[in-house]
This record gives sequence, structure tokens and C-alpha cells, in this order.
Amino acid sequence: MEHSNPTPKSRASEIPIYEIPGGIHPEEHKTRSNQADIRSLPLADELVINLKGQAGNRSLPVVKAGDTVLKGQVIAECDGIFSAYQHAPTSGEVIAIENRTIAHPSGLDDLCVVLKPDGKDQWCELSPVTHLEDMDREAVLAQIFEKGVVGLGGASFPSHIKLKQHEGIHTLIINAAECEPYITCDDKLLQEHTKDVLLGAEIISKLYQDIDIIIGIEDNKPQAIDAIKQARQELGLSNIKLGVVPTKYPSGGEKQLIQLLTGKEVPHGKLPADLGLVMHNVGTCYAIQQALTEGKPLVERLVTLTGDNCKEPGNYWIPFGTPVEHLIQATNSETPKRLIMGGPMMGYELPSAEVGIVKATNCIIMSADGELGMDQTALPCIRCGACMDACPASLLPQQLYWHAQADEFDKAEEYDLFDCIECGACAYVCPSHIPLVQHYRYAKSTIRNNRVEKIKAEKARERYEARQERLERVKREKAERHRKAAEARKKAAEEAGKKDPKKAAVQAALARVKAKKEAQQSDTNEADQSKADDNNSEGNN
Amino acid sequence: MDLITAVIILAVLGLVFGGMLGFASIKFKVEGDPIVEQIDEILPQTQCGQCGYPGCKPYAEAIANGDEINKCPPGGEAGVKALADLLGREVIPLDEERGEEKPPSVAYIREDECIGCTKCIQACPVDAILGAPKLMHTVIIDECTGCDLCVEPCPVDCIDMVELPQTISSWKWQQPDQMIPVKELEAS
Repeated sequence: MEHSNPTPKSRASEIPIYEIPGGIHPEEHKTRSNQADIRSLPLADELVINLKGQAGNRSLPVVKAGDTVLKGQVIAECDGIFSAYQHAPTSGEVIAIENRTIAHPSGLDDLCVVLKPDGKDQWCELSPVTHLEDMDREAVLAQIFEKGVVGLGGASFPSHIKLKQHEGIHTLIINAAECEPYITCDDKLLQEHTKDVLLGAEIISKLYQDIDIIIGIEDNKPQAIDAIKQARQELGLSNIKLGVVPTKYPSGGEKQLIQLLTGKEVPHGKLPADLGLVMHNVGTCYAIQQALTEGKPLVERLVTLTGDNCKEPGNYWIPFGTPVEHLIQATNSETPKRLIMGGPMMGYELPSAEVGIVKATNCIIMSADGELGMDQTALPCIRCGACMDACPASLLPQQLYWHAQADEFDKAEEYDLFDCIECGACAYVCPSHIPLVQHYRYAKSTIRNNRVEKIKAEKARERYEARQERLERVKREKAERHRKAAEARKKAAEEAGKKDPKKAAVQAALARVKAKKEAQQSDTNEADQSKADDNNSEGNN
Repeated sequence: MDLITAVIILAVLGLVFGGMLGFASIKFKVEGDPIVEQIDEILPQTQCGQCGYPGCKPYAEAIANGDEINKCPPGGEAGVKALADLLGREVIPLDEERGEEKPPSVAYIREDECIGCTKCIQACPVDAILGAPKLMHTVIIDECTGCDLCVEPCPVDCIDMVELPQTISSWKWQQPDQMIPVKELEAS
């Protein structure tokens, strides 16, 4: 859907801004964390690095307990292409590779590398790229891949996969919208490391031919906007355009920001790349710049620590694997009532304070009692339709809710459940406080599980049928052999009978014995054969 | 004359339509019974035989011929509901005699106790057990449907059914409480 009349709402924007449906204006709570400069905290006593800290496959550990590692050394390799390298966030000793509670709403355990820092924080030998201009596309991608760069906007999608497709891409969008309340890490990163971020965007743009660069940013970040303008002038990167969008949640969603900046909607089941667009977060740009010009792998990220119970709110460079407990202590904070990883809208409550920070962690909210208003009990739906007006994806949240709670998943899918971005705008406006997003998540995860089960059932059916067929075949072949043996016997007897009846009787007896022996032989062979078949079919599947 | 014309016309019409029907019956022939396929789609393909038939397909055929839809414990209540939807029958509770709905599990062979008799290999309906005579056997977990059929034939009782642990990838969100909150008022 293309709007014919772009609405120039913000004067600062250098490109026309379009509109998105729905959206909400929650209290921002950003000022409490974006006042102080970026800081670091003392190292934790123990780092718990989750090997499934990215979208895709779990990384494979290449160190073992007792190994000493330097900061930036590879500790886990990719399992296939859809995975990421992991590096030691500091120097020290690997004390265990074991299951620990990880940062995941389930509160389940998964494989982690536990690292005991030696306090020296000593880097391994870094290999910065000296002649960036001379590198070809593949070499740049390889460097990004080896440095473990993943999307830092929240989904941790491995960057090398996103960057792989280059045909038909005409616009690079840098997502600096940061629309979720409380979170300010992208804002601060842009203010303090403006040039690095812009250079990172420039490196990405070199991977494509003739590409436009747009930085999409909300108009509640005037300092970052000024910083970009200044740095752009100093670096002479006049090709970078600023798209300043009005502050509204969730304008930082990938599809929403695309619609705001280009007026185009990403169709159902399609990717932004199908529209010739690619989007990266500012944090990812910074990480890519560090990976190439400094040779530094992704071992830490900027995390917003905030919430009513956080005594020193702000943005901190946190090495991956730092336990949240350590962050609470290091900022002299009170034990939070609720500990949220991510923002108040899309984040999730942590199962324990012992979990380590992962690449996706942009914010930790140490909330006080009643701060996030999640204690309200759900009341019956009054069918007011407020959720529909708030939905940025133009879905029918109420309809989805009815179907999800009645386990009518096929109907929920018909109403495009999977186009829901789980932004929580519907639940925010719901006067009955129905946890709508939780219903959608329940429906989505059940549908996904059902699909996996379906595939498994299909495989079992195939194997069952293959086995039935094999048993049939073996039976048929056995019958055939017996028939042939009987025929041969009969023939031999007949031929012998023609010459000498006495001799014939003896011959017939001999032939019978021989045939019997043969049959036995072939039976054992056949048994072996069927065993071998067993093994083969198992090996093949 | 009229009579003969009428007879001829009817005869010709009959031949034409007969030909068309004959053609259609060959051209649009339906292989197998589609309803059996649809029922088989819903059944969980554990091939456990708890329904009393030697596999999911035979049970699907039996259902199509009028057998009850509640004889499949691995399919559970959800399976009965899906079958009822498909066939336009009443949803009935699972037949308890057939067993009960159990959490997903797989067979596990205690390998040092296995004597290599191949009995379990012969019992496995989906060829998920690997081994050779007088050599240790093992279960390919990814292929095991958890049907229990290998447990019984084992002469040394070295096969356990182990519940599959929940992992990050198999975990799913729980449905929020559906209860309408009830507040008890204190008697004044």
C-alpha cells in the first residue's frame, strides 16, 4: 500500500515520512538512563556464556574446562552456517562447560561456557583490516562472520546471513528508532560513538552497489540527530540521509520502520530484501566497524540498566556472560521486584538473576513493586475494539484472542497470527488487562510444535511403510525361491526317470537333499540380507 | 415412424452419456480411499498398535469403515477432536482400555546389558533400532516413536521408556489462565 501524500510531520527529516497504522504512546522513562555518559563496571567473578546466544544453532565449544583463554579468543565455533562464533569476553580460565539457566522465558538450562576472569582483561592478537578498500565482498563477509557479529537490535540474527543477499538491494536502513520505553542504549551509542556507527554503515553499504543509506530515528533523540549531522559532515558521508520519524511505539519494528520511511508494506510471508531493502541496527553497525577496522570480535555490548530499583541507571559496556546478579550489586541496586530482560513491552521476566547477558540483551529493568503494572488480573473481553485500533500490523487482535484461547489454531492462522510482531500495543490499551500477547505466543509456539510433530509423524509413516514393503518383498522372494527349487527338483527327477527308474529314485533323493540344503543356505543369507537392509535403511535415514 | 425416431434418439443419447460416464470413470479415477488418507494424516504415526490394529494405516481404514475414533492414546484428546471434526462424529472420551495419553518418550537400551538377540529390531515398526546378531543394539532417538513395542520382546529386560526432556526448542508458552477471577468477600 503506497500513500500518495507523504505527511512531512517532522521538519528535521531529510526524506518524506509516511504513516503506520495503530501504535501507542506509553510513558518513555528514557531520561533516567540517558543522562549519564557510557560507563563500564568491574568484571564479575564468573561469566556464564550461553552457547545459544544467537538465533539459529547452538555454537560448538572448542575449549574445555581448565583451558586458559585470552580476551577475544574463539571459545565456540559455528554449527553450520545458521549460527555464530563466540569469543571469550575477557581473559581467564574456563572452569566448566555445563548446563546453566539461560536468559530465556522458559527458565530452562542449556549449555554454557563458564569463564573465571583473571582480572587482566588481556586481548589476544587482533587482526584489524588495513586496506578495507581492497577487500572483496566475500572477504568482508568472512571477517564479519569470524568476529561473531549478530544483529544487536534484539533478534540476534547472524549478520553474515542477512548481508549475503545483495542482488536487487537498493536501500540500507539503519534502525536507530529505539521506540521502546526505558531503553536508551542505541541513543547513547549514537551520541558517543557517532563516527564509528556511521563508518560501520559505510562498510555495510560497500557490500552493495549503488545503495542509499537512511538512518531511521525517532524525534525524541535530538542530541543523537545533531551528532549524526555533525559527524556526517566531518566524515564527508553526504550519502547518508536522516529519516526522522515521530515518536510512537512500535515505530522501531523492522516492518514498521520500513513503512514509515518508504511507504511500502512488507507483504505477508515476504522479507524486506524482497522489496530491495536491508535493515541493520546501530549497534550492529558499530560491531561491524569494530570487527573490521579494529579487528575486535563481538565480546561486549551496550546495555541499559534502569528501573525504579536501579540506583545508578545508565548505559554500560557489559561483557557477554556477565550474570545479572552482578549488575544489580555493581550498581548498588535493591533486589528488584521483577527483573526484565529487554524493554517493558517486548521483554520477558528473567527466571533467575544468575543468567548471563547475551548478545540480544539491550536492557535490564530492575523494577520496583507495581512499576510495570503486570499484576492486574484479566477481566472478560468487552469487545471494545481498542486493540484493533492500536495494532501496527492491521490485524484483528480480538479475533486472534478468541481463536487462540479456544485452541482454534487454524482459524488464528487464517487471521494472520504469524504477522503479529508481539509488540504488545494491544495488551497495553486493553481495558480488561487481558494478556493478549501471551495468548498469541501460546498459539504461535503450539502451532510451531505441532508442525515439528507433523514432520516427525510423516517420517515415521514413511519408515513404517518402507518396512512393510520390505517385509512383503522378502516374503515374496522366499516363496519364489522355494517354487524354483521345487521345479528344479521335479525336472531332475523327470530327466533321471527317463533313463533308469532305480537310478532316478536315488537321484531324486539326492536332489531333494541338495535343494533342502540350498533352501537353508538361502534362508540364512536372506536373514543376513534383511539385517543388512535394516542397517542400511537406518543408516540412510 | 415417431416411435422409431424417439427410440433411436434415446438410444443415441444413452450411448453418448454412457460413453462420457465410462470415460470419466477412467480419466478421473480415485486411487484408494481419500478419507482413509485424511484420517491417517491425523493419526500420530506411532505405529504402536494400542488400537488393536497393526499400525496407524490399518486403524485409519477401520475408522473409515465405522470403528470408534477413541482408540488412539498417543493421539490423545486432541486427536479424537480432530477426527470428530473430520468425520462429523461426536467427540467421545478416550477408550481407557487402550491405555492413557502419556508424555512423549523414547526407548532407551541399557547397552551393557543387551545380549544382541535382535528381537527388538524385529519388533520395531519404524526400523529405529540399530544392531546385529550378538552385537549391542541401540535406538535412534530421532526416529523412535515411543510405541513401547520393543520393551515386551526383550528377554533381558534392558529397554526403558524414557520421557523426552524439555529443551529450549521444544518448550512452548503456556496458555494464560482462563479462570474468571473469583474474589471472596469477607462476611461482615
